[in-house]
Amino acid sequence: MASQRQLWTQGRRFNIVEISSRGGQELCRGYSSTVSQAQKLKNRAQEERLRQIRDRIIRVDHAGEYGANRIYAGQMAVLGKTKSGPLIQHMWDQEKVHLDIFNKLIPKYRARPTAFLPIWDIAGFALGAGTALLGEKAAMACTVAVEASIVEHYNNQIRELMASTDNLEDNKEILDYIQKCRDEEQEHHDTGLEQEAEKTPGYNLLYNAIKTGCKTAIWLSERV
Amino acid sequence: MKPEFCVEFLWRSYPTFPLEVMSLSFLSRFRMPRAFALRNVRPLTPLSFRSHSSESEGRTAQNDYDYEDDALKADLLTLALEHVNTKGWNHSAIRAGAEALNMSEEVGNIFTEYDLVRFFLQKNNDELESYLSGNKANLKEAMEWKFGRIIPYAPKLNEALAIATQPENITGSIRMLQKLADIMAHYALQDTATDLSWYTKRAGIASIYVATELHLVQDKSKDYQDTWKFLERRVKDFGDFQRGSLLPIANSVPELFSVGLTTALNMIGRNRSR
Repeated sequence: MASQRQLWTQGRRFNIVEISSRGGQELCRGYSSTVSQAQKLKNRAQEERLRQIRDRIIRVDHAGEYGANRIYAGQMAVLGKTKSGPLIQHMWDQEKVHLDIFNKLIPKYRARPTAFLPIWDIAGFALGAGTALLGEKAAMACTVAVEASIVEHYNNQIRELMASTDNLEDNKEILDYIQKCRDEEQEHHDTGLEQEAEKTPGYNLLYNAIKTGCKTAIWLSERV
Repeated sequence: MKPEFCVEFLWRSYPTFPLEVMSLSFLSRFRMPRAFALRNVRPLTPLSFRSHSSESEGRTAQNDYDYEDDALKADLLTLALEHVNTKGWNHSAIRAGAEALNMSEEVGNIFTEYDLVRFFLQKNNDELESYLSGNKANLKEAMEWKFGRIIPYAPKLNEALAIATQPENITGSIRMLQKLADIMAHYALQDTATDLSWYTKRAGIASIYVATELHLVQDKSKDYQDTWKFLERRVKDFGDFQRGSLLPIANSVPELFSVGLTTALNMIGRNRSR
């Protein structure tokens, strides 16, 4: 089958040369333009594939950082004046920097922000404030669960971006930012564990419920 | 096997069959009677044909894709677009394009009418993007440049719109419109929104574009003066709306209603020019 296909291709080239010798210069020029045009189309298809991957990744990361900001805002609204207030404030400040990064990347790579932003706004704040109302340890358990799923997700994205193209320079900027964010989210996760998050009553239930919620939110934000 | 059936079998079983081979070695020898030509039928592809060839060489489908065929199709459709004003957006224009490429005109039958329309939309988007990335333009200038490219096709544009909005084609057309609005928002509005105003801006631009296009289709004034004025008012309303005023919406309701009414009359065939 393959050899037959190749034969046809050769036949086509031959035929075009034949016509051009019969029909003048015009078609010969037409053919060389067809080859360069084909290369152009191929480059564009490659570019489009990369654009779609970046679009999805930037959209979901922006949604994630936006939601994380709202979670810390909810926690600060309840726990702002307790002894863990400064710690939460510190983590929130780092999240604000992350959100700024993706606010810049969206117009730069012409990604589409998710249409669920108003929902993440409310849901994030409710999650942060709700767990904070259960106590400081429950708030830290919430942080641990959220950051664990985010770190896992960032790692998957780094793998996908590395595999998407032969030339790593293509995605260098996004990769650098995602790495920076990933490291800081990991720090937040570890901070939560240091603050005895695991001593929350019903830790496993809370942890798994929040993690499932995060995964659902990620799945939705990638698509809508 | 009779030559007619031979050619038909090739079309149906292997749509990317090299066009020249088909046209020169087969079709020039056995011209198929017009009555045999299949119209509006997409060639059927038995899975065995394609998957077998890509698996046997261990290549991915992506590498296997033949971009030369696409380039050739683009050449053919570009030439076909020169005939749409005289022959309409149908197979006779595509066949004329095939003839201009020195192929048998029957090659045109491997395309659908929507292939031509989608190619037109895609080409316009590409040209708009390359224009706007090189030149600074605000929304009004960008829209005017865009309609400057559309107006040569105005006499038969209604046929293209009818094909583009058929139920099976509408998703692709909406995607093209979305792309158009995104290009305009990115280059002409310099949009950096990351919230829901990202969506409202693009929806506004798309509605300006669609309303003006519908206006253009039914415009009988000299040099399409009415359309240009209509476009100017819509862009001005959009600017006012961006600045936070709700008045333009109330102002434009009667006008948009009359556009919708005339379109409806056109659709039931009551507004034909005699």
